[in-house]
Amino acid sequence: MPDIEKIRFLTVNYSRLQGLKAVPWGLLMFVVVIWSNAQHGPARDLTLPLLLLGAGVVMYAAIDGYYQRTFGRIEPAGHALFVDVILSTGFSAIAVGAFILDTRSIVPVNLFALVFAVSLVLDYYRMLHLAGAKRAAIFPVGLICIVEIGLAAFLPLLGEGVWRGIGFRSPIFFVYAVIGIIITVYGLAGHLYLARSMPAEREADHG
Amino acid sequence: MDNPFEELAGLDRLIHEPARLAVLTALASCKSADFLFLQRLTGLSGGNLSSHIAKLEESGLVHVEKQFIDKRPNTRIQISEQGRKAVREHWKKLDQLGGKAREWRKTE
Repeated sequence: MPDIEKIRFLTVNYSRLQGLKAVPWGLLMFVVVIWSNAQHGPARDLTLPLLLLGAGVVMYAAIDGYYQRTFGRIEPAGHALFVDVILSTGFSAIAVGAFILDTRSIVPVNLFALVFAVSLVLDYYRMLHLAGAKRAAIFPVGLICIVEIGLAAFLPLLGEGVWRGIGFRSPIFFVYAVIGIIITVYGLAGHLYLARSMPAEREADHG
Repeated sequence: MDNPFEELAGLDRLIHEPARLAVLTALASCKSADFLFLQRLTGLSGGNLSSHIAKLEESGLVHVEKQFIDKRPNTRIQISEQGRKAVREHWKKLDQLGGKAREWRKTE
């Protein structure tokens, strides 16, 4: 008997589980944060970040092609796409607001990381709900990464000694660098989950 | 109480066959999927999957469309309304039978 819950989960969340697409953005975030941290005063030459952004776009397109050629294509159900767009737009706007508040150091925790973690929790709940899945731990590594992003919001509370000791000029750089790494790991975990759940042909062709 | 195991044996075999149930479950969860996706999802060989899809198409449970994408042949499969209704009823029956089987006791 096939695992109906897992089949639904994989199909409904196919685009979300194409985790390699997140890797260029996680690496971009990490590298840009490290670069920003190394600047003395406002950055004047944005060549490197813009080149990296361009490279990220090219890599994303190449990775998308890889998934289509290797794992196939689906057209998601229409109503799910509409809700995805609304939620993504809403959370992106909130994240921008959180970033602005972070730069003003109004609260001692990183609001961007908190907003990001909350959006991932809601997204994970949505992944389960759309698939009618009852097992919350159907994608355990994803859950762990979400918790880690949430915890990253509290890293500034470790104190100046910790993030200055590692070489960061401010807790924002420290937290965003950590988030960049976690996004990369989350993406790799999603891809491994997909690849293991959908291996290449498992039976011989009997014609 | 009816014997749920007898009811289990009476399930529609067209839909209940594991590979076809997997295919219909996947197709009911999206608008359409291509052959490669269904093959990766089920782990079936190309020939075996083709055979199952042909049976489902003959019974009107799926529609098959052959197209070209980037000059490469691509087979797109979509579940029909009849297929969607049939697989939903099948899941419902399986859930009900699961419940009955857990409560079933032999009558003397």
